[in-house]
Amino acid sequence: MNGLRKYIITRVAVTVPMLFVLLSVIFLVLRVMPGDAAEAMLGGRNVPPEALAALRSRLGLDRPLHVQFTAYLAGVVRGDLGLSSRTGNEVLIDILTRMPATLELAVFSIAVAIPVGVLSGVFGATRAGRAGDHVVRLFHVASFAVFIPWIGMMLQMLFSVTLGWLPVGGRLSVINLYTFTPVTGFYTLDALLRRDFAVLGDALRHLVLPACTLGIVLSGLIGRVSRASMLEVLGSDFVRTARAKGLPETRVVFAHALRNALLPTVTVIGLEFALLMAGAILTETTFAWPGVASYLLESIRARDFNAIQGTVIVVAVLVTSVNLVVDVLYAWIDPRVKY
Amino acid sequence: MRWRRARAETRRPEKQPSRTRRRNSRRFTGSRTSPLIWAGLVIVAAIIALTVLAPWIAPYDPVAYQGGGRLQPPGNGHLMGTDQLGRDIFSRVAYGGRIPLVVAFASVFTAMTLGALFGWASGYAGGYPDRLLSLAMDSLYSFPSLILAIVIAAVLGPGLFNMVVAVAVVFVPTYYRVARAQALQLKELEMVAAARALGASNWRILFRHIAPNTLGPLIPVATYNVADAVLTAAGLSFLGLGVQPPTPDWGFDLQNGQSFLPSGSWWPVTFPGLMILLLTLGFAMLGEGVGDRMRPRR
Repeated sequence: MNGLRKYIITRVAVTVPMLFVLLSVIFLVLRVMPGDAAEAMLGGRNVPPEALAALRSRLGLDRPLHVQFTAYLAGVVRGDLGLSSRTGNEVLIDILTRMPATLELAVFSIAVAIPVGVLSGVFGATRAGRAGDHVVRLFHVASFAVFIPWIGMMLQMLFSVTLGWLPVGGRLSVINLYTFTPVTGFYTLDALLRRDFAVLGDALRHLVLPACTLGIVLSGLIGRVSRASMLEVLGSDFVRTARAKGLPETRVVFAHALRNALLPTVTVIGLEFALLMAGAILTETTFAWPGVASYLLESIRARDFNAIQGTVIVVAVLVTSVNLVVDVLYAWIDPRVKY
Repeated sequence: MRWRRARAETRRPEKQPSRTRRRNSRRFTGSRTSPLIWAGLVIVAAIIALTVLAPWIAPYDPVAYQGGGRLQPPGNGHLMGTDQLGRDIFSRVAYGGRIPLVVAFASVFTAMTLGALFGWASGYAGGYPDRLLSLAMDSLYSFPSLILAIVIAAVLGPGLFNMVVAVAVVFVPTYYRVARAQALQLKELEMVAAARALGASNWRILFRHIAPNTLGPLIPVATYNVADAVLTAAGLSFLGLGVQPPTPDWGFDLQNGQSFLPSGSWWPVTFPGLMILLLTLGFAMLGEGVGDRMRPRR
């Protein structure tokens, strides 16, 4: 246990400089590259230089770079991400309002990705080298190669437009959007809390297509890793022993092999969080999903630099913390891990 | 002549598996490499041929109204129908691969060059600069690539060159990590000690002895990476951060067509998206096959 505590402390100690580096990169990208916030906000070519200078000094862009950087870091530490020039709200508040939508989508897509990935991996590994395995491998490569908006639109075409079973986009039907008051912002959870099963069904129906789209894309990596680790475990001695004992094959595969093969899969699921956030931006755009990723895009279109910077910071913090948690969990599951 | 003590414990790289073991392990993973590589090559070559020969293949001007009506379904002289401005979709699909292909190749080349240079130098030099650079690259690596590319593209503004920059930046850490790991391993070899004993300078050791030997592992990474770069480029275009409108571009055309999906017009989105899928699938299969060949057991 002492070793684990030491591991956690070291791991946290490494996370802090990593975050610092990320924040510096974000700062540099947004400040040092040609074209600053003032130019972007005023836009156009015929902006009088005085107006530009005035806005720059108001935004603090005329101060030396290191002063700007210190002020920026101090703001981030205090959770002050500035005001959004588009909505007029505090950026952090804006982001926190949008966060539940993204997290809800993330949870449901992972719920799709894990069974699809693990089962396809097991299926492929148990049929290594045969036709079924080739199909599974092709599926894993294809799911990596698929362009999220396209698969999303194909699903919309089939299930929404042609069959009319599911809504095209959004989180709730318009009628529910006006009558339902959310509690936490996680609509499925809120509907359960309020015992409003009509809204629950509506929220779930809206979740199916986006979650499947993102889930299919995520399942490829999970499946690939599951297949590989499953192959390794299936070749090990204890599996041969289990078979020699005369256990049914399903029991050997699922009770003996799979439990031992899941370890690398757990790590991959954690690592996929970055992929998930990247995929969320395309999924949210395709399905008009009002989450953090679409907030970033709206801010980009409005040239709202504080909001862009704030979103990137929040994503950076989120990704880094998830990686931290996964690493610690991994050390906890597998005591052999040393730092 | 400079001479340094040759290290007593030199680490050898993993021994190449013998022929039989490789054959066995390949049977074990059930992957015979050549079909994957061939299929990938055929797909990629066909798409490159289509885009390069577009002026001769495309039946119409990809940016001009064709007079046949807007949003016409496939058929009637238009193989893939027409879009919301009455342009021939097949012609746009034929030309539309130019942007993603150029961006993917240029950015992967740039990222690989920069990443490898930094990686070699960092791994070979070691010490404090190496740790600092590794930390920076690891932080970048952990960040969602598409979001970083979007932000960079948004700051730089639209345009082909800016797209290449945005996509290249996010992939530098990938190559850095591979090149650095290789350099770390190779610099302990006897051949490096021998070169040093013969009076070779650090530059010569790095570029004549270490760098060429890292290319083997870098190539499969790059092949796979092209698929990722195509997706990132298409993502940028889809979000309106690519090149300006009339230029045919699969990603952008996909976004354009989406508004007409609810009314049942499936053809403006289906075909450009299918091309993106085929192209990335081709590169991914190629990468998978090349990777299989380099590392017999994954």
